[in-house]
Amino acid sequence: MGNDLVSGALSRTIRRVPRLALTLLAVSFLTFMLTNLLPGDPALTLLGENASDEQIEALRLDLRLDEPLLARYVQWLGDAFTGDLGTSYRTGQPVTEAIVERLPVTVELGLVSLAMSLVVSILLAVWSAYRAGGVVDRFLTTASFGLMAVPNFLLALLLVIVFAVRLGWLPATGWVRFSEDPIGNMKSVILPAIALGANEVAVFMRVLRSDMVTTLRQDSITMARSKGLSTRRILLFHAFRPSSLSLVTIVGVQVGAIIGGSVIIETMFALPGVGRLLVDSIAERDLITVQGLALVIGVSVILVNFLTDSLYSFIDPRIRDGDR
Amino acid sequence: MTSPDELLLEVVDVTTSFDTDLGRLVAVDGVSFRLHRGETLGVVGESGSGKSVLARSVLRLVGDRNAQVTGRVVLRGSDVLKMPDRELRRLRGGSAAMIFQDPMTALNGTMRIGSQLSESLREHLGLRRRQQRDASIELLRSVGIPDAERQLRSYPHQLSGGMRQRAMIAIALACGPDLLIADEPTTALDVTMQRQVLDLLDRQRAERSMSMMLITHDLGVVAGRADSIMVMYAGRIVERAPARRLFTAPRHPYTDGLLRSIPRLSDEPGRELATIPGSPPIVIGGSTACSFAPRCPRAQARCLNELPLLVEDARTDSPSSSDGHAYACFYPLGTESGDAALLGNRRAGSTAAGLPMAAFGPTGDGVPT
Ligand SMILES: Nc1ncnc2c1ncn2[C@@H]1O[C@H](COP(=O)(O)OP(=O)(O)OP(=O)(O)O)[C@@H](O)[C@H]1O
Ligand SMILES: [Mg+2]
Repeated sequence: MGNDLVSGALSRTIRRVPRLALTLLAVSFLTFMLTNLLPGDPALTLLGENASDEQIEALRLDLRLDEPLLARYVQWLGDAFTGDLGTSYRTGQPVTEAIVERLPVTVELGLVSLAMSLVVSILLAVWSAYRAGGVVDRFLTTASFGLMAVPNFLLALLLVIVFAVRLGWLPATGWVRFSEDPIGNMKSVILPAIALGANEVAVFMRVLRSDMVTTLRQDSITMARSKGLSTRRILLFHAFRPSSLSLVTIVGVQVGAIIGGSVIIETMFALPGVGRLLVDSIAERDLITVQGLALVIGVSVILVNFLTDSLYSFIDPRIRDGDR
Repeated sequence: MTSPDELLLEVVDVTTSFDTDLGRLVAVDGVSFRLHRGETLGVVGESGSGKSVLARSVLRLVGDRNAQVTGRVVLRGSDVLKMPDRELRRLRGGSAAMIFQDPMTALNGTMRIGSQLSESLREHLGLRRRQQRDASIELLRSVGIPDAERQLRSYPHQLSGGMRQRAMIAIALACGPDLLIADEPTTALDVTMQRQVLDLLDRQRAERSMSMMLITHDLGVVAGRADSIMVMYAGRIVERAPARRLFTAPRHPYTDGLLRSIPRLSDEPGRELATIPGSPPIVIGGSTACSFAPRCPRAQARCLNELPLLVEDARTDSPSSSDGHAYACFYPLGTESGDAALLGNRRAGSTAAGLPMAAFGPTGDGVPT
C-alpha cells in the first residue's frame, strides 16, 4: 500500500531479472548452435570448398571442435561476455570491431525512425479517437490500412524518386557521420528513417486509437469533463496515459521489425550499418560474423522488451502494486 | 443573495436522442423540472429509463456524435445548452459537479488522488501549489477520510470502496458547486456504507446550501432525503411530487409498482415482494402511447393509442403548480376511473395490452381483492 512510484516500479523490475537472465541464456545458446547445427563439417562450411587440408585442420583446432559441445559453449559465452565474438575468416577483422563500427548508424536510424513514427502516430491517433467516426478518423483508418500494405522497400524507392531524384532535396544514398557534419547527417538519415518507420506509424496508430476510443467512453472521461478541464488536459492525462499500455507493448515488439527492416533499408540506401553487415556476411557465408550479429541483435531485442515491460509500472500504478 | 426560495436550475422540455441503427432512440423525452437552492431532487427509475442521459444532458456532457439535445437548461440564469464553451468549462466543476456510481471507473486510475483534486482547484480557483495542497487536505478531511495528508499520494485502487467514493465526492465538491448531480452514488456499495455516503452527501448539501440531483433506481435511497421526487420511465417523467406525497399517495401505477418492490421492516416474514412484470422498452422515434401500458395492471385501449401527458393532480394542496404533484396517466390510483379500469381488467383476466392479471401476483396490482 502507498508504494512510492520509483521503488515500487523498481522492485517489480528486479523481480523480473531472473527470467530475463534465463531468456538471454537461451538466446545465446541457440545462437551458438548456429555454427554447430550446420550439416557437415563446420570448419569446411566456414572456409568453403577450396580450403586446403592444413587450413581446415588449423580451424578445427581453433574452434576446438574435438572438445565437447557444452565446454565449447561455456568458452564461447565467456569470450562473448568479455566482448570477444571471434574473428571473421573472410576479412580477418574481429567481429566485435566490425559491429561496433556500424552500430551507431543502425541505432541512429532506428531511433530517428521510431521517434518520428511515435510522434506522428500519437498525434494522429489522439485526433482520430477524439473525433471517432468523423471524416479525419475514417480517412486515417483507410490510409493506415493502405500504409500497412506498402512494403518498406517500395516506399524507399518512391521516396528516393521524389525527394532525391526529382526534387534533389536529399541524398539518395550514403551516410554522413554526425561528428563530420550534423546537417548532412540529418539529411542522410531522413529518407531511410521514413521508409523504415512508415509501417510502424500505421501499426502504432491503430493500436492507440482503438484503446483511446475505449478509454474516452469511460466514466473517468465524463468525470474529467464534468470537472471543467481543458480538452488538451483531458486527452493527455485522462485519456492518453491510461490508453498507452498496448502502445508500449507494441513498440517493444516492433523493435524486432525495425531491426529486420533496417537490413533492407540499409542495403537500399547504402548505409554502413549493422543490417548491411548482416547481408554482406550472409552473402559471403561469413558465419562467425553472422553468429556475432545474431547474438547482438537477439540480446538487444530482449533488453528493449524488458525495458518497455518495466515502463508499464510507471504508466499504471495498479500494475506495480500487483493489482493487475 | 441566497434566499431559500432561489431558483437554481430550471430544465425545460429537454429531449435527448441518439441516432442508432434502429432509428432515433429517444433516451430523454420532454423532461421539465425546477430545482431550488439547497433542495434535493430524487430521480428514480429502472435501468435504461434515461436517468444518466438526463444527468449528462444537464451539464451538456452528452458528447456522442450521434446525439442531439434540445430544450433549455437554465442554471443560475444562463442556458447551459447554448453557452459558449469557455463559459461551459467554468460552469462544469465550478458551479455544477457530478459524481458517479463506481469511483473505480470514474476516477483516473493512473493519477494520485491529490492530483485529481488539485487539477480542479488550479483550473477554477487558480490556487497555487501550496494552497492546492492545504485545500485538498481540508477537502479530504471534510468527507471523512482519515490520514488525509498521506491519502493525497494514494492512487484510487489503494483505497477501500467507501474511501474511494468519499474521495470522488471530495473531488466533485472541490470548487464549491451550487449543484451536485449524483448518479447512483451508492449502488456499488454495501448497505452500511450506502447509508454513510448518503448521510455525507446530505450533510455537505446542507453545509454548503447546495442543491442536489440524487439519481437512483431505488426509491428506498431517496426516502427521507429528497424534498421532491421525479419518477422516470422510458425517458419521460411519469410522476413528480413532493417526497412525502409520492410515498403516501402515488398516482401512477408505475410509482405504485416501485413502492411495492421496496422491502419494509414492517413486512410480515415470508411476504413476497411485488415485482413489475417485464422490462422497460427502448423508445425509437417518438411515443404515441403510454410506454408503461404493456406492463400496467390498469392498461385500457386508450393507453395503447394515446400518449398521457403530465397533468397536475387536482387534489393537490399546494397551489404552486410547477412544484406540485403531477402524473402522466389516464387511469391513476385513487380515482374512480382508475379503480374501474383495474376492476375491469381483473374481471377480464387480462389487461388491454394482453397481459394476464396473474402476472402481478396476489398483491401486485395495487388494490386488495
Ligand atoms: N451514446 C448512446 N448511444 C445510443 N444510445 C444510448 C447512448 N447512451 C445511452 N443510450 C441509451 O439511452 C437509454 C437510457 O440510458 P441511461 O444510461 O440514461 O439509463 P439509466 O436510467 O441511467 O440506466 P442505469 O440504471 O442502467 O444507469 C438506454 O436505452 C441507452 O441504451
Ligand atoms: Mg445510469
